[in-house]
Amino acid sequence: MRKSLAFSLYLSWMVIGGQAFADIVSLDSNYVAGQTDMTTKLNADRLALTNGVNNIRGVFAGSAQSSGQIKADTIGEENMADDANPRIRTNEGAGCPDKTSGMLTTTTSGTLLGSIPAGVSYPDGYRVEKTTTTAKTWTASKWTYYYILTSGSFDYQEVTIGAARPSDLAGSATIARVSTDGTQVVAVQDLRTTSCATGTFAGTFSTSSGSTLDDMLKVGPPVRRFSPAGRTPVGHAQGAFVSWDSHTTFKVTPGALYINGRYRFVSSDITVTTGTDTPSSGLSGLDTGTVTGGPLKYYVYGVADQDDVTSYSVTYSTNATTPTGLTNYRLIGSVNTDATNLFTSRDNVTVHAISEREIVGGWVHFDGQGSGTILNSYNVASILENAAGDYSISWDSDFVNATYYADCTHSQQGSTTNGAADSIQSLTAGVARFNIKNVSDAAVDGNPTVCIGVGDTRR
Amino acid sequence: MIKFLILFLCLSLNAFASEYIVEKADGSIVIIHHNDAAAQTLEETLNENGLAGLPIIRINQSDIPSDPAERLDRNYWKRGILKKIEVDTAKKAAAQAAKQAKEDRKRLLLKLTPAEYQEAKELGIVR
Repeated sequence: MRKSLAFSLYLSWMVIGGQAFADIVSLDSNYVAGQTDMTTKLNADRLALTNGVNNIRGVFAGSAQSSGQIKADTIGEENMADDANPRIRTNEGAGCPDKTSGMLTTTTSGTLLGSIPAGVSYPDGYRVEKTTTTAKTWTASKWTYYYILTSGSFDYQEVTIGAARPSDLAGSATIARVSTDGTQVVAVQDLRTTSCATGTFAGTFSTSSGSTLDDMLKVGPPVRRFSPAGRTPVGHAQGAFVSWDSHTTFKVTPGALYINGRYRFVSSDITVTTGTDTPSSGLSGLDTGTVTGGPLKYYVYGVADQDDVTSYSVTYSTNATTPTGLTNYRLIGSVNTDATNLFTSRDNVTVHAISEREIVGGWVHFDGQGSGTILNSYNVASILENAAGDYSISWDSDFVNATYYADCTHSQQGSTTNGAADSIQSLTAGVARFNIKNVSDAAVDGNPTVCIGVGDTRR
Repeated sequence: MIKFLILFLCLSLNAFASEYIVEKADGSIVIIHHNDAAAQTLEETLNENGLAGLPIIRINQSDIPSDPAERLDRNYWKRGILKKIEVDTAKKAAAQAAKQAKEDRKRLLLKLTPAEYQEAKELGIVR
């Protein structure tokens, strides 16, 4: 009897306790046949049910739940659908809208029939999973942009090749641009957001209230203050040296450039021909016309007019400030043609860098009259006193060739007259030998004797 | 204290260079001031100046005659015994004799008296 009573009390506690947070739907009516207020009772119960369902979370005062159909801390992620499950979203890296994995089609050979692989995307934050491939016949000789929609379907926009990119579709994540010729898919440009770890430089702060990386990279002219365009273009510029290549081409070396708000980089040499450019498709060349009328100076620009790429192209022009047909450009240097309209290696300039031949390769200030003391120097290994007024300067790092500029001058021995005849006796890549003479053409020592060499060196 | 200061100044004055003399086959010498901090070695300097294989000795800077009057004999310097650099008096005498003979010959060709020749030199008419 006692056991039976205890079991009954336990059962009552379970029933009551189990509904402690789930009894907002309180159907207190006891329907009896023939009851006169049946309609009222039914409506009261309907209202209670409706309110309960529509307020399933219940009422909270702080963390204390006074009503509701879901007990606090009782819903596990295993009860949630994949498109709402935070574990799934975290695992798939959905930290930003339009994050996509998979779904990138490939080039084809001899056919326009392709397929879009399975994958997962988060257009506008909605999770869309494609578990099977999707067949797609691409239109010939077009650029086709394709998207995954929040509805789970793919959609497409076609433009002529070389045309501007159309606006993205609403409620979509952009996947790629597919380029076709008459018979096949020749290129696929990946336009997916594949990682939420990347962001704009403008979103990268040094401190919570500090400068952004964008602030740091877009200001200030590098190296030189002035260029043919006036002030040297501002912002980050590294590498991208303008370099002579041949009589019909020149090169721009790998580098990174800030161009009108766009950060672009190139990891291999760009060879620029005498052909005309197509900046919208990244083709480097002359801005307009032909290379003629030499000798001329051509101004070289880094160009960021091709959309959806990380690289820059190169355009050159006779115009030092406003090349034809460009929107986003930055002056990076100049090249020259001779009277036969061939590129020359003479005076190629990179406006954001200094060539070795523009700066002093070595110099020395020594006492050639006394004990020969080297008082100061740069890039000089040795001074050799061969005879009276006969000095050799042995450069520490040799010049690239023997066709560099060198000169010496001195204060004449035994006279107040300075600057008599100084001449080069011989010049090799490693040694410059000078003869110093007085006004009577006699070899003399000088103090101070100063010598300089300017040209290409490898330091 | 002053002695140490003087010693320090003397030692540190040219501490970055080492001096050598190379004796050429005709007995003349080349003085080399080699920058101790240079990446190029002394041997490389000798090679690129055509001096490899010739006798070379290291000297001190104080061994190099520094008086301007002594410097006038630079072309007659040779490796010495008592001093590391000495004047080759025989060579100097021969050179001066040859120079005087040349001067005399020039004066004769110009048909000038010694006084006229000296005046012509002072006026820069002859060198």
